[in-house]
Amino acid sequence: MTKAGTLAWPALVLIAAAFFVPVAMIIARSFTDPEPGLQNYTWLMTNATAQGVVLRTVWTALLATVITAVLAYPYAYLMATSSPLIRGLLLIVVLLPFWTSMMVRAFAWIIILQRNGLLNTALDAVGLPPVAILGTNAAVLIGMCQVLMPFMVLPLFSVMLGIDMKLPLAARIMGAPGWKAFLGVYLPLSLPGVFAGALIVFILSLGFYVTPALLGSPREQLVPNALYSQVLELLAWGRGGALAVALLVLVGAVFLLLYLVARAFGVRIGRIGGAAL
Amino acid sequence: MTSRGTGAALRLTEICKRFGSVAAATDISLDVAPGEFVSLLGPSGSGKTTTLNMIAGFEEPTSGRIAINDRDVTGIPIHRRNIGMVFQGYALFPHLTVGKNVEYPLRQHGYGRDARREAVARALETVSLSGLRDRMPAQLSGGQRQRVALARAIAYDPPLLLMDEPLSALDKALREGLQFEIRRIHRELGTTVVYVTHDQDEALALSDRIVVFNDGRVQQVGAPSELYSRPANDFVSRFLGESIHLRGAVRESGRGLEFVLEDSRADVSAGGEISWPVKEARLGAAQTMIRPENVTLAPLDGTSAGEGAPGTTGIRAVVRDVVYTGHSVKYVVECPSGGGVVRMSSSGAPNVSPGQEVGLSWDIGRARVLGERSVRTEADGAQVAGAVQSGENEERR
Repeated sequence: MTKAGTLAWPALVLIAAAFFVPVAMIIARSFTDPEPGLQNYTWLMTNATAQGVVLRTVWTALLATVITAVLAYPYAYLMATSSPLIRGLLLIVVLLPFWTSMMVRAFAWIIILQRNGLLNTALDAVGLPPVAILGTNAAVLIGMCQVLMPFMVLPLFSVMLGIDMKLPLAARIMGAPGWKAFLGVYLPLSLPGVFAGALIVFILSLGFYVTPALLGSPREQLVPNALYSQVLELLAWGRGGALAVALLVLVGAVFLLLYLVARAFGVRIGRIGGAAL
Repeated sequence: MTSRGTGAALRLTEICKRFGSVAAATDISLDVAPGEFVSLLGPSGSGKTTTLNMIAGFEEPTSGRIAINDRDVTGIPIHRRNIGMVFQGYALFPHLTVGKNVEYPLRQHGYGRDARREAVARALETVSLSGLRDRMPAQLSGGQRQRVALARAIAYDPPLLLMDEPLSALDKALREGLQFEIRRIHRELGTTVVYVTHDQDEALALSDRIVVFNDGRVQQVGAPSELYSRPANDFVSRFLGESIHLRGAVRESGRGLEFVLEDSRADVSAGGEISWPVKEARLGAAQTMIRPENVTLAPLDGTSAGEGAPGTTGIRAVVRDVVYTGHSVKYVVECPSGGGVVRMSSSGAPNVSPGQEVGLSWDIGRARVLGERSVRTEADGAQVAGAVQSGENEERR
């Protein structure tokens, strides 16, 4: 083994000890707790509440991915095409949430969204009826998107930065109106960034715990929160394990799906060299 | 192959472009005839690329008009100008094959499927790349990419073709080969070409006419031979080709105007002033410019220099450097009133070494007198102060 290879050992050991071993234990428990058998998966497959939790989690993650992509794309484009000064400012703005704890941000949203919060005060001031967002899945989604923005913006930005801005101009002078130059040239070249960002955001949003706990409602639980109550409140390690495995399988499935979609958009993406997968 | 299309006439009328307080281009006026090959030549920051970008529509002029075939295109969006363009760095679409790249403009211009296939095949054939249709741009060499860019630009027979330093990224041998091809393609297609370059040899080799830019202004417009033998000012004479420059003055004599060389004691024969009659010049400080092939350099062995054939004159100079370049030998010379470059054919080149004193003689009929420091441009007659100073404003895109 090379010297560099030797240096990688600590990281390998850490990953094995802190990730693979616990995951293996959880998977094992899902088949053995409280007694050996498939009862935990039977529960997952037959219990409407449990299924609702899983489906809601996937749906929320999908929405979060689409919303952040739609919001982040123009933002990243602006960053990639601005002067260094503006670019730096935009970067700081997008990174600011990184420097604040997730808890603080969730509380900030509570202040804004609660019944007598900033949003309703503002609505009242312009004569509109108040809205009850706090305690719904919508509030969870809003909080999640804010946290996830940088994970979409940054991969998009780095791919867009590598796109030669002469290419859309070349398309224009060859007779393409602005929107065609964008759809035919710029968008395809930025797709690796979209795929990379979507993958990160989707996987991260499946695992959100603090945000749903503070902004959502127990009636609209997501997998991480359900998992927490199964394990730590009901001490049902096996069911918790089954939920965790369901999450893992879902991530794997999405990974595969995105990989196939990216492949369908072509080997092209790989050939550009900025492949996301 | 015969000419496929007809070139467009291009007319720029008093175009100005300012970026904030910086003038990138000032009073650019130019008439390009259909089918003509015109180069915009100048150092970086001289305004040539800004001018090209305004023709393409990437920049709007601050004032002035651009007309293609008498149709005012100022304010017309880029995609409706019907222009072909070869970009610096090629700008091939990396996600499309060679064939799809060339097909792109045809799609945009509404060609049908069969017409597209035919035009792609023809364009690739024109640049001798028929076999590479299904390759990706990343799999091509620099020269091949350049050819694809050319094929893409000519595929839909645009009446006006813009080329922005298309060969600057290639090595010398490849560059000369492609120059030849660009000339051939221009002849075959009859397209009007506006070609931006900072390479004087390229401009001289390719163009019907050259527009010399400096400091955002047109310095001179003319055929290559005209610019070379009769540069309008100091900048043009120094930017295009090699020369020696000697300071002096224009004064009136009994027979009319004459040019007097400064420090005439540098005269080889020490026989007093060196002067010769000139036709048109402004009185006062001036300089004379002589091309290397019109100067004879000889070692000082007592007799030869300065006393050559009738109509020649000569001075003493010191050789600073001798460079052997194959077909000729280049001498860098210096004398009290100036200096520059002299070339002698290597077969007849005298064997002198740096530091040695030599005699220079030239045919006074081929010495060009230029106003010193301030000159008149052909374009507008305005004074261009310090034409020698290099452009400080960076070229913007």
